[in-house]
Amino acid sequence: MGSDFFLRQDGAGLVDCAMAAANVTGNALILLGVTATTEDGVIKEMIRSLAGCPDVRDLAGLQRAVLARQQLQTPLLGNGVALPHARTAAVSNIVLAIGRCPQPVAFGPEQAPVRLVFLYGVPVHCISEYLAAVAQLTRSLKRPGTLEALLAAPDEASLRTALQ
Amino acid sequence: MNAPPVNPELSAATRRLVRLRIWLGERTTANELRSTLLWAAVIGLVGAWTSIGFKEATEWLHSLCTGHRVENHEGFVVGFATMPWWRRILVPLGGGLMAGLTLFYGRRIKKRISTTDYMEAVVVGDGNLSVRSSLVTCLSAWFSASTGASIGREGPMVLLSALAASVVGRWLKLPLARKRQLVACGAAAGIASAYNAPVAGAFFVAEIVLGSLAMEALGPLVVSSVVATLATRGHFGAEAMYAAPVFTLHGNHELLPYLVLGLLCGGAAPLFLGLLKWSETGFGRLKLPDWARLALGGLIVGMLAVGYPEVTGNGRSLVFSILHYGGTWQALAAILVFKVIATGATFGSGAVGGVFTPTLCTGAGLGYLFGVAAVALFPGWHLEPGAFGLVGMGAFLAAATGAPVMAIIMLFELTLNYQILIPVMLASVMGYYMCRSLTTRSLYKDALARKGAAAVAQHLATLKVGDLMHPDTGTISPLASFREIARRFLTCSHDFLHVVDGERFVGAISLHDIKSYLEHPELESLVISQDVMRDDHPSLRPQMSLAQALDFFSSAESERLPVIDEHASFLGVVTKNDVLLFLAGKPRSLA
Repeated sequence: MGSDFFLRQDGAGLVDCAMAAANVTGNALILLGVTATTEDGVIKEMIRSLAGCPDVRDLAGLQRAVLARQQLQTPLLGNGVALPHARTAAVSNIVLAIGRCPQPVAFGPEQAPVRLVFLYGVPVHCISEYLAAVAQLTRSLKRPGTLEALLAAPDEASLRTALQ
Repeated sequence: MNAPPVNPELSAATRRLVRLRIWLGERTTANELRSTLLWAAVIGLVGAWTSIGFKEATEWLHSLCTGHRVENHEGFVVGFATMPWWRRILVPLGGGLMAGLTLFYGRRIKKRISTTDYMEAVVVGDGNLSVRSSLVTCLSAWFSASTGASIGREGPMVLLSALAASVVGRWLKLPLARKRQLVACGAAAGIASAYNAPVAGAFFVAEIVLGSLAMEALGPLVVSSVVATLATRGHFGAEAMYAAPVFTLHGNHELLPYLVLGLLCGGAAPLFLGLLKWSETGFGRLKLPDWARLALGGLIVGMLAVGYPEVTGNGRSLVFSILHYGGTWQALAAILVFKVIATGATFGSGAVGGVFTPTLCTGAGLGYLFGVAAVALFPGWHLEPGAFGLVGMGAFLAAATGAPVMAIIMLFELTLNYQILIPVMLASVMGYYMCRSLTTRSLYKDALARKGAAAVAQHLATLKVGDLMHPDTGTISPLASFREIARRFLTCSHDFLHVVDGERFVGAISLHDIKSYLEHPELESLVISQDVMRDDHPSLRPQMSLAQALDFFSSAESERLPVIDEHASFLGVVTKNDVLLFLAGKPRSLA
């Protein structure tokens, strides 16, 4: 029995979430050369890059929320990918910043080497949308060759293409 | 803060189980009600066996006292009819003495043992029936009922069954509302078991004890009654308790005398109630100790039994005789008068027991006598006095108890005669209105008032959310991984998990929010409870009234809400079903 059987009632909701997730990735802010060399530094630099984004109401609030969330548990996907995130009132829609570090940066208590960082700011009420966005991203990253393409992408456009 | 270890992925089998759990959850609701129904069935079984035990014990003691073995669960009249005159006096006298001594010494253990106890009127209260005082009254009732007192042995069956339910409720540490519901189920099981009447058992408790026919309350009562009846039938057989000759309605004009009979029963019921009250007052004036008063009541019954052994016992065999053999109206009138006096003497002396069957018996006698008169007045109408006896039972019961719905159903179930239903409905409603226009008193209203039901009701009216609260089985830490969340949903039957950080309530996770993403094992290392919990989940305060709680439930998605204090400390949960059960079971005057 496929999962669709169980999820039929919420088909419309799922489609909405998937579209929202696609928009999030499509509108992501991209930093190809993150200069910071520490976990906190990388996060702060990426959040600073979101300044001016209309969906961010409170940049400092977003930074506090993401760092606090990192203190609880470091969301690591493996293969040098980290997904710092936080649900906060500091954003009005889901925002995503994608950062690529030239050298691996140690993340979390286990000092896992990370080169690709996907930072999400999520409004408090967007639970399903947030899960949809993260699920879509992890699905993309699992595709063979995607990670290599992201690490090798010469510019923003080719990185976006690699993610689609 | 240390990060939790990276969790292994959820196995495919676990994910399938979670999906099945979601599928079931979306297609079924009211989990609490399901468990209430399950316990109602268990209580039905327990109630049936306590009733069977009491019935057997009564017949054993009766055989011991009279030397007559009760066959086929016939009444006790045969035993008395075969005894010499002196023994007819001695047995009820000795029984009254023993019953009185039991109450006398029982009071030394437990002061609050009421006299003149119509035991069917169980005050559900907070669901905690006193084991000692209940057992003392049942023991006293056992002596009275076995030795010929004009009293119903069904009363102790109801009380014992309700007591068993109360003990089970306490043992399970159920919250107040469900404990009340369980005790009510016990009482319904007792009635159903005693009268072989499952529907009437449920309606008796709903209409008289709880004062509500709301489905939240009635459903479990029906389940309990049905199970109790099936268990009792398995033991005693399934025949109708008062199997009567087949009754046929020849024309609509026949309803007219039944209507008049209803009015007559409605007029006679206040006299019956008055006699019981007057007798109680009279015995009270004698200022005798319990043992002497009950012995005196037994002596009066014994002296009446010398001439009319039919006055002994609850009246079941007398009803059977009226319906089947009738006899001359003069003989029946004399027996009826003495039976009512015997009932008055028994209850007036302070004997504890049921008043239900003596009431039925009085109604049957009254109806039969009226039927004889109707036959004489309208000889061409093919009227049957026995049918009037049946209808009289229903009408008198409806008037005396103030519960016409129960009376109508009870009559149908006692006789299993469908044709009788229309005249019984008409006469019962007439009897009820007639009686209510003459007096506001009813058998059980007085009994419930005596047992302090009003004080209990006042107490219940002041109950708050905190009183219905119970520990939660569906909590999770804010750091729990996505895998743990899925597992937790699998092991509990709730659709919301309450996220508790230490002692602090911080939010709730909805199964609905996460169900679509269980197919993504990658999320298990990325997402923790805090990421998917709803921060704005409604919560209750312990000092809130139940009406306020119901307002919260009406706008909440969850059937179960957390209770927190002013510092957001998590105290427990209250379910919507508990609140509805309480409000449905609230005594009528406060509803």
